[in-house]
Amino acid sequence: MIAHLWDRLADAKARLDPVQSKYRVLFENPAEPEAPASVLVPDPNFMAAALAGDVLPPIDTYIRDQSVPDGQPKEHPYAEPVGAMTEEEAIEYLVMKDISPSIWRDYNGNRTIMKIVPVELIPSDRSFRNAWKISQAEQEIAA
Amino acid sequence: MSTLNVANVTDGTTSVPTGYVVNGSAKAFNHLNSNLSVANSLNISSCTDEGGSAPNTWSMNMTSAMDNTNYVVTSTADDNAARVLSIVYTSSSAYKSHVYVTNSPSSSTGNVAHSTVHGDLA
Repeated sequence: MIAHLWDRLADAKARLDPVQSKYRVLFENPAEPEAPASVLVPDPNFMAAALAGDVLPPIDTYIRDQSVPDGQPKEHPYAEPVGAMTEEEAIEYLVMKDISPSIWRDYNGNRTIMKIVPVELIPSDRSFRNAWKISQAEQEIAA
Repeated sequence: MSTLNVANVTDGTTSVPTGYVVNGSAKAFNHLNSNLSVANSLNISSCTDEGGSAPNTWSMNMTSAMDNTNYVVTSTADDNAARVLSIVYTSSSAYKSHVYVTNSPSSSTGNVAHSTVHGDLA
């Protein structure tokens, strides 16, 4: 019998050291062109579980569960866990899980609205946080 | 992983059904720094800094979703420049904290926000 995902996460937190990712995901919502760019920060305990394997469910269970109404049984808590991922695979998993498909799958415009970047390229100065946008220049990343 | 299958928990004098312990424990928590790092957490997959002028919006995504959106988030902030203004329940697996933080260079190391989640898991 497969343990509930929450139990597996609690067990993983107790036995694995957290892993601070060296990546961040910058993205913009095409439905809100005036809004600043968002920065997705991977959770260190999630990353540890993803890199160790046998904790997280397949990503397609989350995608199917998005259409399950509240209060109805969801698939991901008791799905067979997937094996160990690389850090890059874990970031892609997070993108599909925590960012709207309208951004990572359905957007067809010319503007780059999502980038996976090294953490050191995120500005530490928040003085103009309400104006951060993804640079459209090649190889140029942040605000 | 081992499993204890018991109906009650007792300290020798007082006894409570295990349902009180299971249902009453926090299902998620996070301790978030505004320098874009997570200091400690449980059942959180990622946090998203959505920026904006004050208040800033921080979105927390849970790995193991709640049963519905009728869960409870308690959120606080320390540092004199930070205030939690409101919580928005966006789905059974994500909620947003609207946090007033000072958008200044010094705020990159302060303005710590935390939250805990209680309720029923999916």
